[in-house]
Amino acid sequence: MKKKFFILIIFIFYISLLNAKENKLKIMPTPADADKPMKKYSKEFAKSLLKGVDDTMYPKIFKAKMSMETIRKGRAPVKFIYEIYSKGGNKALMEIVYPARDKGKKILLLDNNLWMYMPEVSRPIRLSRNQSFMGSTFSNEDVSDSTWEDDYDPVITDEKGELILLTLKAKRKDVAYKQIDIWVNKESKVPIEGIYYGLSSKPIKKIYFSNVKKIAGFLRPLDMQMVDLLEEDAWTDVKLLELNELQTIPDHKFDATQLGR
Amino acid sequence: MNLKIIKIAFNNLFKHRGRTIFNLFTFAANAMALIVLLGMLKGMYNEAFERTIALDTGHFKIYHKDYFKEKEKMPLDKNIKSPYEVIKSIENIPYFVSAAPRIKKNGILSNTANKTNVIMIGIDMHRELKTTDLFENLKKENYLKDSGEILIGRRLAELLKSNIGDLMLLYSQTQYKASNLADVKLKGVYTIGFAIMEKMIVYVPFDFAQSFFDMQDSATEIIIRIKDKKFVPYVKKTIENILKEKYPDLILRDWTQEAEGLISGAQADFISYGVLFAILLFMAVSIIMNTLTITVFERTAEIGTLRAIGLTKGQIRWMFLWEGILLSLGGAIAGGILVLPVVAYLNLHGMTMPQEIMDKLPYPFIELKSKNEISDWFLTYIICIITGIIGSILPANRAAGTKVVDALKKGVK
Repeated sequence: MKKKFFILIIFIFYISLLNAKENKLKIMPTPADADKPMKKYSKEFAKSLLKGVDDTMYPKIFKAKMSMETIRKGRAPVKFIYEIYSKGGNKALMEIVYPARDKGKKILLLDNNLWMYMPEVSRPIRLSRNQSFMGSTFSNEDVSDSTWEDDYDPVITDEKGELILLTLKAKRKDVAYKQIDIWVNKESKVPIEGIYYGLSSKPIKKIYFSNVKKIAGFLRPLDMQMVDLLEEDAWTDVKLLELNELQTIPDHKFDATQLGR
Repeated sequence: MNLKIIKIAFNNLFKHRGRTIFNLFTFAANAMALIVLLGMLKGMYNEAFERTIALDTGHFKIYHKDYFKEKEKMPLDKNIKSPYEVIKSIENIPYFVSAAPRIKKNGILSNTANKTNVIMIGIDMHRELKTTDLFENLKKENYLKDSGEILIGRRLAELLKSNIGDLMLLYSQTQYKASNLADVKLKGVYTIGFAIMEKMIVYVPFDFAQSFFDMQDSATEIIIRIKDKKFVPYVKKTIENILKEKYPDLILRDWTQEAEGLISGAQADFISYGVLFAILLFMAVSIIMNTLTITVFERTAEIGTLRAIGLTKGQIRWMFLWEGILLSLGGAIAGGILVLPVVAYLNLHGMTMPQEIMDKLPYPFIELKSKNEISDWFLTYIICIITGIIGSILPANRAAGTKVVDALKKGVK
C-alpha cells in the first residue's frame, strides 16, 4: 500500500513537472486592474506618491558613478562603470570609466535621443530606442525615461502592510510601456519592485530596488536589478557607487558635437 | 582583300606545326575559359537576381515616400493607408501577377530560455503565396491561419532549438514606440536555402501584425510580382502614373533599386573577373607576339624573296596579320567546340556548392548553374581575333620593314 502511494506521489510530481514546462508561458504575472483603484486613497495621493518615487530615484541635477553588470546564462558577465552627469531629466552624459578597453566611450541623452560617441569614430552614432542599452537588460528607452510622472497616470490598486501597489497607466500611445505596476513603501516613497507590461498586457521586465540609504538628502535605493522576462536567467545589476547633487552643469557638456573634447 | 595573301598566310601555319599547335592551344584554352566564365557569372547572377525577386524584393515595392529617410529603422508610422485599396488600383495592369501588403519591423523572439533579434514581417498568407516563393517548401498544414501564429526559418529553429507547436514570445514596439509582447505559437518552419533570411525573418499573420504594431488599416510596404523582369520598365511607368494620380504620398521602387547591394556586387564581380581575363588575354598577346617575332627572324630571307618578286610592304604586313587572325580564330573555334560538353553539363546540371560557402553568400542561392547563350561564342571569337591582331601587329610591322637586299643575303632555305 505504502509502495503504491509512493509511486502515485512520484507520478503526480512528474505530471506536474511536465505541466509546469507546458505552461511556462502562462504563469507570467498579470497586470493590476487600473480601472479598479482602491477607494480609500485619492488620486492626488497617488500622484504625490509617484512624484515622491521620482524624487527618491535621482536629484534634478547630479553627478554620479554607477556600475552595471549584466548576467546572461552561458555567457561571461559584462560589467561597465559609468560616470554620469545629469540635468533636468532630459539631459545626461554617461562616460565609461571601466573596463579599460571601453574607457572614453560616451553616451549622450538629449531630449529622448540617444547618441554614442566612440573615440575611434569621429562622429557620434544615434542609438535606436528599442535596442538594448550596452548589452544589458535595460533598453535605451528605459535609460532615457528618467521620470514616470510625465508619462504615466498613477492609481493605487493594492496594499500590503507598509507597501502600496502603484499602477501606472500610460498617458499617451507613445509611452514605452502600457502599464507599470510598482510596489512602493508608503512612508519613505522608495520603490521596492515593479513589473513592466506591454500593449498586450504581457509582462516584459521586472525591476527590484534594494540597499536603501539616505544620500543627497533623500532615502534612495542604491541597488537595482532589472530582470528580462524574455530570457531565462538574464538580469542586470545596477549599483549607485557615488551620487552628488549639483547646483548646475554647463549645457555644453551635453552638446553632441563636443563629445570628442 | 587579296585572297592570295590569306592563302600564303594559311600555308605558313603548316611550316612550323609545333609552334602553330602551341598557339592554337593558347587561344583554345582562353576561349574555353572565357565561355565557361561568362556562363557561370551570368548563371550565378541570374539565379541570385531571380531568387532575390522571388524571396525578398518582388519586382516592385510600394512605400510611403518618407519611409526611405529612415528605412534602416523600419519606421511604422511612415505607412501605406488602406493597402488593399492600393493593390486593387493596380491589379488590372498588363503583366501583373500578384501583390501583397506587408508590415516590417525589427523585434525580439524568445523561447523564454533564449532570445534573439529578428525582423518580423506581417504577411497576408493567401496573397504572399501568389507573390513570392518563400513558402514553396512549406506544407499546407503549416500555413499561417490564425492570429498569434508564426513561421520561422530552419536556421532560427535550430538556433533556438524550437519545434512546431512550441510557444514563444515576440517583442517589439508599436508604431507609437510603445513596447509590446505577445505569446505566439510556432506554426511552421520554412526553408529557402538562404541562411541570412532563415536566421533573421519571422513571418506573422498580417492582421496580427496590424494589431500588434497598433497599425489599424495600414502596411509598411506592398510587394508586387509581374510576369517577368523584362517587363519592369513598362510596368514601372504604368504603376507610377497610377500612384501619381491616386496616391501621391506613395513611391514605387523596382527590384534593382531594392537590391542595390546585389547589383553593385555583381558589377564589382564582373569587373574583377574582367581583370582576371584581361591578364589571360595579355598572356595570349605576348605568346603570339613572341612566336610571330621568332617566325619573322627565321623567315627573313623568305620575306626578302617575296619582296623581290613583287610583294609590297603592305602585303607582307597583311600576311603576318592574317597568320595571327587565323591562329586566333582557329584556336577560338577549337576551344568553342571542345568546351561544349563542359558547358552542356554546367548549363543542365550546374554545380553543387558546399553549404558553408552558400551560408556566407549575401544573396539567395540554390545552385551554381551556368547560363550560356550563342552570343558568348561570338563574343569569345571577337575577343580572340582582336587579341590575335594585337599580338601580330608588331611582328607584321617588323616583317614589312625588312630590307630586301639584307634579307636576300641570308639566302633562301
